[in-house]
Amino acid sequence: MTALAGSFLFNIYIKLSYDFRVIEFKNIYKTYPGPTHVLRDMSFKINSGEFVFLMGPSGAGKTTIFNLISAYEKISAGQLLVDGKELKSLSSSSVAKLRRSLGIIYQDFKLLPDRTVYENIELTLDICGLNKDTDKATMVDGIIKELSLTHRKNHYPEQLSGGEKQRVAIGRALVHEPKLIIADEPTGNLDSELSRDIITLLKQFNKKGTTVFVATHDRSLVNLEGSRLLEIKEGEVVL
Amino acid sequence: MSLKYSLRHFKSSFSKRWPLYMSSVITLSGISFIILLFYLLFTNFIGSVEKMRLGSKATLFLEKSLDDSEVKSLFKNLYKKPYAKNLNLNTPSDLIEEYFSGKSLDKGYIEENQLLPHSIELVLVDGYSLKAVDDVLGDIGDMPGVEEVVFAKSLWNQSVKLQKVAYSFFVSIIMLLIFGGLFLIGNLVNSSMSWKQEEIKIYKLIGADNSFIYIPYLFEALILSVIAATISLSSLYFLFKANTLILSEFFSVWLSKSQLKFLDFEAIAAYLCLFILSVVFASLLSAKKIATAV
Repeated sequence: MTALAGSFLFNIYIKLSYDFRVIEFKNIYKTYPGPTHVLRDMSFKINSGEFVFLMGPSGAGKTTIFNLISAYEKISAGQLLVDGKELKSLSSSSVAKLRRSLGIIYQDFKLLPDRTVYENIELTLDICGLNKDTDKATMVDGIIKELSLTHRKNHYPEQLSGGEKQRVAIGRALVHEPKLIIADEPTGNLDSELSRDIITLLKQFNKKGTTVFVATHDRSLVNLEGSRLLEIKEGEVVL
Repeated sequence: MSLKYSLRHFKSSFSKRWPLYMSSVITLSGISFIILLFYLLFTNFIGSVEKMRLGSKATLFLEKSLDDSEVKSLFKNLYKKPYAKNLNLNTPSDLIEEYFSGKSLDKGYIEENQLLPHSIELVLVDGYSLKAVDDVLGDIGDMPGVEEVVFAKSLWNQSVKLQKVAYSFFVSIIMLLIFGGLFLIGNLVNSSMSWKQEEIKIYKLIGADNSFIYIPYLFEALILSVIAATISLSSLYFLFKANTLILSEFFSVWLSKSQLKFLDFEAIAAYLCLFILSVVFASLLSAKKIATAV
């Protein structure tokens, strides 16, 4: 109940600009100087509430797709639409707003080494502008409990295992209840058992309505029950 | 972005990296101390030269035939002159009191027979060359009622030259110190910001906007610069108090111990503002550079 109240108050504080009801890649090309064509005529759609696995070998363009969605890079040609709005020529403040609407999980976790588990997760709420300590505490404690990290709350990343670090990264990505999570090889540094646990965790959040877009090259993790597979190769969609 | 977050960020960073912060404060304090020390020496040296020049005033001996109204009229005319910084009228009684006090003589006789003239002590304004002083003395000497003009020309000339040399020397040194100080501050901030690169990168990936990135570092720079300025100013003050005797011996030709001055309030306030702004600005540039690069 308290967690719900905290969540409600949080949404009063910040306005998530993007609901990510639909993400659409329309004939997208991405070329790097060289020239290196990473994405060629890529088209696909992700609808709200879906769980999509993005599969492909190394160099297929998985990370590039995520970089484009998070406005870390710009498309060379084509249209990238989020809720019908084109992500083109965003200002730096618009880019920041877009990223605050997302939950991004990286293969190498990207945790702040001099912050505790609690502080790493709390960082997202600070960035989103939630100032009230009690509301923050409610939300952070809630997510820490969901991720079974309560006993590690005051530990630093160097004191955590790989699986725990990834769960902290997931917590940081989810604490502000984004509509879309993008996870770029979140199990890349983990063993198979931990990897399955992470995917299961993401599926649990997906069941609550969060759209999840996960990149992986590990076919054994792909559980198509309630999810979709998007396979790419050499910058093109093959499945 | 709240002040509370900035404070929390600073406390968290300080607790983990306090040696780096301490060394930054010490370096900033050192830079500030040296600049302030030279400025203190500069102001007292210039003050002492000013005092020396005040001693070289022109003494105008007036004709004994002038009555009171004529003396007053001459005094008023001189007062209007652009070269007159300060005027002091001495009557014969003043002269008797000043030069003959303690000696037995018939003061009444001297006064009645007008054996001593009125005199005017005239302090010239600053910035006059020796040639200009010559013209001024000529102008004064030509005024009706002025019998003789006495002026220590060589002392005036020396003090003007000394002041010019002192200004050039100290201003050059202080400018060098300021530029050197700004360079050191810039380098110090850059090197202390380099470990924050990864932190800023992660902030940006999560969606922090520029104010979220910059404000904690500006807050940090503000705190460190205030601490450094306070340490340097306090150290200089205690050093000044402890060594006033030594300094007064250095300046003893012109100044007594009580005349040595610490920096005035306006100079301190102006310096503190400039120093703190420099550090904060350097920090902003560095943060911006890193935020743009990552």
